[in-house]
Amino acid sequence: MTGAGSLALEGLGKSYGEAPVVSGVDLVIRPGEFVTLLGPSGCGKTTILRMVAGLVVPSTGRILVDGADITQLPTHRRNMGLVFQNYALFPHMTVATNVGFGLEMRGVARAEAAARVREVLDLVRLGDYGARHPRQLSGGQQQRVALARALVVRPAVLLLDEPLSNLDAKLREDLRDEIRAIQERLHITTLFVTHDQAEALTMSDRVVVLSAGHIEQVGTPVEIYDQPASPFVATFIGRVNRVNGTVLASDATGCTVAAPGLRGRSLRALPAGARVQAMIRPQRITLSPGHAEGENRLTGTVRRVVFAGDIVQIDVETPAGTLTVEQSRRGLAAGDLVTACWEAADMMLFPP
Amino acid sequence: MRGRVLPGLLLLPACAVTLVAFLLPMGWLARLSLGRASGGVLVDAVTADNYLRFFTDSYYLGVLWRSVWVASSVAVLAVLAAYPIALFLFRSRSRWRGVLAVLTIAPLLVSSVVRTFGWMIILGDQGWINGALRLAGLVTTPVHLMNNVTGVLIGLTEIMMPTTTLALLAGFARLDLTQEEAARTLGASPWRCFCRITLPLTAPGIAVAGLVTFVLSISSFITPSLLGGGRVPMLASTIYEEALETLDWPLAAAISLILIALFGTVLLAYERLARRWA
Ligand SMILES: Nc1ncnc2c1ncn2[C@@H]1O[C@H](COP(=O)(O)OP(=O)(O)OP(=O)(O)O)[C@@H](O)[C@H]1O
Ligand SMILES: [Mg+2]
Repeated sequence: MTGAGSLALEGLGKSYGEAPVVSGVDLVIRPGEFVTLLGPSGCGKTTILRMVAGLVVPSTGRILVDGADITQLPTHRRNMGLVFQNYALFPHMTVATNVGFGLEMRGVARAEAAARVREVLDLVRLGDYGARHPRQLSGGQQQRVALARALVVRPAVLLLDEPLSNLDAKLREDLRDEIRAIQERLHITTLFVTHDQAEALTMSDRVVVLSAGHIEQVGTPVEIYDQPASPFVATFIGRVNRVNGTVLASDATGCTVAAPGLRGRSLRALPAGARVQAMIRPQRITLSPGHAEGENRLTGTVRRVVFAGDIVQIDVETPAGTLTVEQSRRGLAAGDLVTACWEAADMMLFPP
Repeated sequence: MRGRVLPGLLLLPACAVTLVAFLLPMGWLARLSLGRASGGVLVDAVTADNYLRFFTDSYYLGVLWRSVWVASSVAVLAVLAAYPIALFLFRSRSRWRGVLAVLTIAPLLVSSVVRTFGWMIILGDQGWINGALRLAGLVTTPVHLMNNVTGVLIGLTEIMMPTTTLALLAGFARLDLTQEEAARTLGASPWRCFCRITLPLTAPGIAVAGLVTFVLSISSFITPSLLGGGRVPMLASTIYEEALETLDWPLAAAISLILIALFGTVLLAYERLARRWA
């Protein structure tokens, strides 16, 4: 089974009445690529997916599959495979009939259709469940039937709308790996929607971070985590500490930032005098006992220590605000005087 | 202990009402149907004569047959006419949905007597339709749309429609719009999507609506009497005539029980069907 098409969105937008819910979305997805739309609730992820599927008519822009404009094509002629959050299985049909529905609509001969249904049910490890009805399956099994039903037609693009959000945590992780493995095996172009950053980071080739209907950043999981393009992305992906400061001096290799109790160095060069937000991830900070002078050092008092299994989370009150630090080393207690320290590369600067 | 007694106690009033208002009269009716009347006076007897008479007299058999087919036709016509409306109301996300829903069931606020009179104005030989046809020069002698089965069918269908629509909507619970969307993305054209997904999933609604409409039509009295002009005798009007004009109460009771048996049969058939879907 190969169903790899390229998908391009050009200036895609949608408004209901006055308010745009999606605007100016430009995105190119290569054949076989797994791209995730990530963003908070209501940012327009589902709307984008439904526009690609033809269930919502775009207000502006174009949708192209393998270079062909499909913006005006009705849903049933688009050859998309859409998996819904609530699965949307047909309750009056068996699992096999559900999965074979797309083939039936395409007029595939019975024998061939049956063989393909069997093959795809084996692929999602539901080979023995063909004769059951959807209501006789668990949530995870229903999810896999929905996936099989979308895959069997060899869609140009596989569209998944929060397919795992109704499942419990353990099952979610299993299915996450399973979906990714199947996707790689079939080399199928996939657009995945989620508001769960762990899902986005672990599964995707590239992640599209959305906010209020527009793209904030497109990049590999590592890029959006390490080099967030905006404070929104930095705070939405992972956790960050924020420190407000002013740029003292700037040169070719970066700039020096001043904040109460801190003289910081960052690799990003912003003009001297500019007000900035410095952001440092909790795991990138190391704590040492006592007071220490130097660049990217901030002395403060431990306020709270939270034990969370693999890591300890420590809140340190400093003149520049409270820093949250995550480390595996234990031994600190509230009231201890500590100095937080980090690398210049780990301090991200943004205009406020 | 209290937890089990209390619900039982709470059921008592309803049981008492059912006993006094339904079961006792039914028993009395059953007994009455086995009696005999002579010159409008009840004679003490136990006989199956009334039932025998009903099932051997071609007049009464005609009434039974006519009632069944008129009610069936009305059920089919009303479901056909109400189905698109109900589907639209179920699907619509429009701001006007509430208004449309109220408009659909608003006729229920007007007595069916009044609505039947309305139809008489429209369907009569001097009515609007014949007036329009004459004006258009299409007919010279009026088309008889009233005082016959045609009138009963037209009037009864319209009068049943709000109820049919509500029953359909109540039975649409299994339909989920994302299922239709799923079918569309899998390559189903709107028509095939309707045949394979929408229709099967709304079938329970169609069955309930058909049942309710049939039962209400076969026992309706006003509309068949007025629009039939006395020329379309059905079960309900026959019961009325036997009881209040011929004063043959035992026969009226027997026909009533036959009507109830008919309900039972239809309900049983529906029950069978419903169990298949469950
Ligand atoms: N038919 C509609 N009419 C008006 N507004 C709509 C309609 N559909 C969606 N919206 C609005 O568009 C915005 C984006 O909706 P969308 O469903 O795409 O969000 P989402 O990113 O998928 O959110 P979630 O993570 O909660 O599923 C929301 O603010 C929503 O209220
Ligand atoms: Mg959504």
